[in-house]
Amino acid sequence: VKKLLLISLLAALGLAAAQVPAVPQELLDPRRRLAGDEVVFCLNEKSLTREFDERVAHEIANVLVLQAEIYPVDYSSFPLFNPEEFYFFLYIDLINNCDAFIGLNTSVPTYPDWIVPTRAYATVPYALMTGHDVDSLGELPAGTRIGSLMNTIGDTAFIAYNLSLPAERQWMRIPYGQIDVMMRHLLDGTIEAALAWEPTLRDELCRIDEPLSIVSLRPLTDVSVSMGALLLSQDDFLRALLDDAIGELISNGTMAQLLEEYGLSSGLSPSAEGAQR
Amino acid sequence: VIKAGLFRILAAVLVFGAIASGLAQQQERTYEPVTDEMLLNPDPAEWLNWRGTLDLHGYSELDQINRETVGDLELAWAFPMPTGGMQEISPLVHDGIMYWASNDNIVQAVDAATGELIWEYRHVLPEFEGGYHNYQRMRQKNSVALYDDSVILSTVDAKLMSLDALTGQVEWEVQVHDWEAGYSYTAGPVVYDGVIYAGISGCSMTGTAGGCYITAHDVETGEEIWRVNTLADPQNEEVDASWNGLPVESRWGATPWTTGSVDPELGLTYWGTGMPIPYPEIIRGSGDGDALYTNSTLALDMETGEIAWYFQHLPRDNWDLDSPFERVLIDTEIDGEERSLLVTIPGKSSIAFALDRETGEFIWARDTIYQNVVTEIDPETGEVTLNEELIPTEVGQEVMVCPSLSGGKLWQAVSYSPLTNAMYAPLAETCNTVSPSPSEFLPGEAVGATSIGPRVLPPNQEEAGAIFAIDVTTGEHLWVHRQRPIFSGSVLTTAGGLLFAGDAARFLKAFDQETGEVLWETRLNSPIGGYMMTYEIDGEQYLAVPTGEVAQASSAASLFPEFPLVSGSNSLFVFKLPNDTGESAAAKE
Repeated sequence: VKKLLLISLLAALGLAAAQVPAVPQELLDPRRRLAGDEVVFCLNEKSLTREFDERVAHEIANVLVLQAEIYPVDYSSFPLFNPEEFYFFLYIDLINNCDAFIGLNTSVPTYPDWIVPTRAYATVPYALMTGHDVDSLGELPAGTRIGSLMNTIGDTAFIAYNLSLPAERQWMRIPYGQIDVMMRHLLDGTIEAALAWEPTLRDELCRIDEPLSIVSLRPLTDVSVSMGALLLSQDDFLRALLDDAIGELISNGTMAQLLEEYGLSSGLSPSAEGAQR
Repeated sequence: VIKAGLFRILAAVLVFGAIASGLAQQQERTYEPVTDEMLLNPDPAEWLNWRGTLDLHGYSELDQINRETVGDLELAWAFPMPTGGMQEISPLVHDGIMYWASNDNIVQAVDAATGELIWEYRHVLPEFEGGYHNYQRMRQKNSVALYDDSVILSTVDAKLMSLDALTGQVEWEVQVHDWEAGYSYTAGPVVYDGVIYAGISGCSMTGTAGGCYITAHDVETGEEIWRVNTLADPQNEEVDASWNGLPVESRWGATPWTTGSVDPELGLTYWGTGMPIPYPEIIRGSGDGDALYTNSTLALDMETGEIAWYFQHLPRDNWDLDSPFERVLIDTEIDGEERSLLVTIPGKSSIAFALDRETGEFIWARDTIYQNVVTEIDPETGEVTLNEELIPTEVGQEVMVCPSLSGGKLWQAVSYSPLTNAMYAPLAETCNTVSPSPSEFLPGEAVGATSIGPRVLPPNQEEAGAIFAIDVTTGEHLWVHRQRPIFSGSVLTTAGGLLFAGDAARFLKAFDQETGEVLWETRLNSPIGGYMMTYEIDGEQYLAVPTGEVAQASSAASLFPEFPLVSGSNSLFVFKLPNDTGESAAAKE
């Protein structure tokens, strides 16, 4: 009934309908799902944090005394940009297949009105992989050749910070379009460090047998992706339930344990730490 | 099973039908193979190369349609394009057959006198991921060349192919570059002395890092003979230095996306290259380096591909003002000395240059439309000084750049008339804001990492459209025609003293080459696009004019709102004089 009402409303209101993707009606299933005590989460199979996100989905459901069902989908790239195609498929999935899409960036300011994000359950940072014996970017000497995955949030922050330094204190930024090329150059010594999203670096690290480590971008702070779930904006009630459950997981320490368990401990954001306190 | 069987029978019927039809046509028609001699000295009645001749003059010696008769032009026939998208075709004519390749690499052969379809070839394209190739397939330019008894085609999925000129049947095809990495042809090949020369596009794509190529191939087989990388040159240490020491895999751009010119006597072929990518140097990482060989003219040895000389027209580009456009080869006298010139408006900045095409020596440069990116060009060396105030130093910093990334000059080709010793250039007066902006590199997406504002007119300028008539010996402006709508198609000059040009308001116009006076105009269904050309059959001169969707007509439409943009289906209109008007070439002879 909820979805029938939604579709009818959107069909009736031209303005509202214009805001949602132009999805042919025959691709939408207007029937209400018999969910029982289940809450269905869509999850991108290609996501580098899929195992972590799936675990979070089950923990959220536990708090709500519901069962989490995972509906796997194949989205080829992490949907920070190139939104049109992503919105098309997200809309279909939220109408047809799931109540919420978990494991997505909730801090995109340009989400359209028909999408509503939950609060973030983790803040996963950009980081640096290097063979240097350092704990952070700031300890690398000026002039160090640092590869950076181009036009990511981390790269943009790195450019801005590097340009703010006097020329003699700047690092040498080498832009890359593909992680495999950047990793090859890190291993052959063309660059001395590689900057990317931490899960990306961890994924690469498992495949190489080199004395490299992942360190933070300090003194850069808040260079991160806020992980949460996206819902249809009409699903206010469910969103409130999910927000409460996420808050509970943060405050009772479950999220901290999960981040550590999945090797994402550095991703506990100041705000999450604050919530924990 | 029944369905599959029926399908096979139907397919067989269609194939046999096509073959039978092709064979019937073949029996009815004769086709004289296109030779090097024909390409060097074409019969004025024909149009064998995308700009008529290998030196890219875009000029016809036909004069039946002239200052006196142009007012009598009437429609001979018209033809709809088989697909939509941008209208950038360049028809060719040989032995009474007109050939063109429209979007989606559909090649059609048409009776040039009647407009009757003779054959068509539909290239099967793969399913592309991402937006880039799906855009490329809708903006195919002069994708065919004629040689021997074949039509040579370059495709969106980075193949070169040879088709039988009488039947359209595939003779061979080779995968020159990896389209899945991002490569794609958007401009066509040029052929001479048994060798195909072609420049690839897609060098802004994630997977094409460090490699952007001009290649040479055997016309009999497609086998590659040599390739030149426009982003790296082990023979020239200045190239690495100009990228601030970036590894080759961290360089993008220098795309040669306009078909080159050929000078068989010097044994050189001339190509232009595009901008460095990402556009802003603070994101591209090249510091204050010039980023060779972006925005350059490359003179290549036709046998080896060795770079004989290069000239960079816009170093350290930060604004997507790329410079790949046609290099026109002109022999003329300067100060009593016979010179072999390369004259060009190479890039969107629209500054005209003349170089010695044997040595690359700078001869002259001259501004045309308003631009604010170059403050000075050394009159002795041609060294360019940039307006460094327009180089963003922070992400998000916005600067107003003239011209806009739509030009100035764009792919719409100039024309050179030996009658006036002038080059005629369709240009646009536009500006836009530019600011470095992050955008993620994804498979199948081209990234300039720049936010672009809407097109606006330069200060104190009310007319966006312009045609400049430029003296090729000095760069002096002989006349300038200005109007509100931009010129959206390439221009053509003829021995009839005419300059044909067409605009975004759908007007096809004939100008007097000497004065710039508009002698005749008519209005068609859509903005004028592609490459106009002219030819003669049975003593009658024809004028072929492509119309349809033109990206610049849309992006600049707000500059001339009194001409609301009307864009009908992409078409080709062919005009001629009434049979009882004008003296035919045959009659003259």
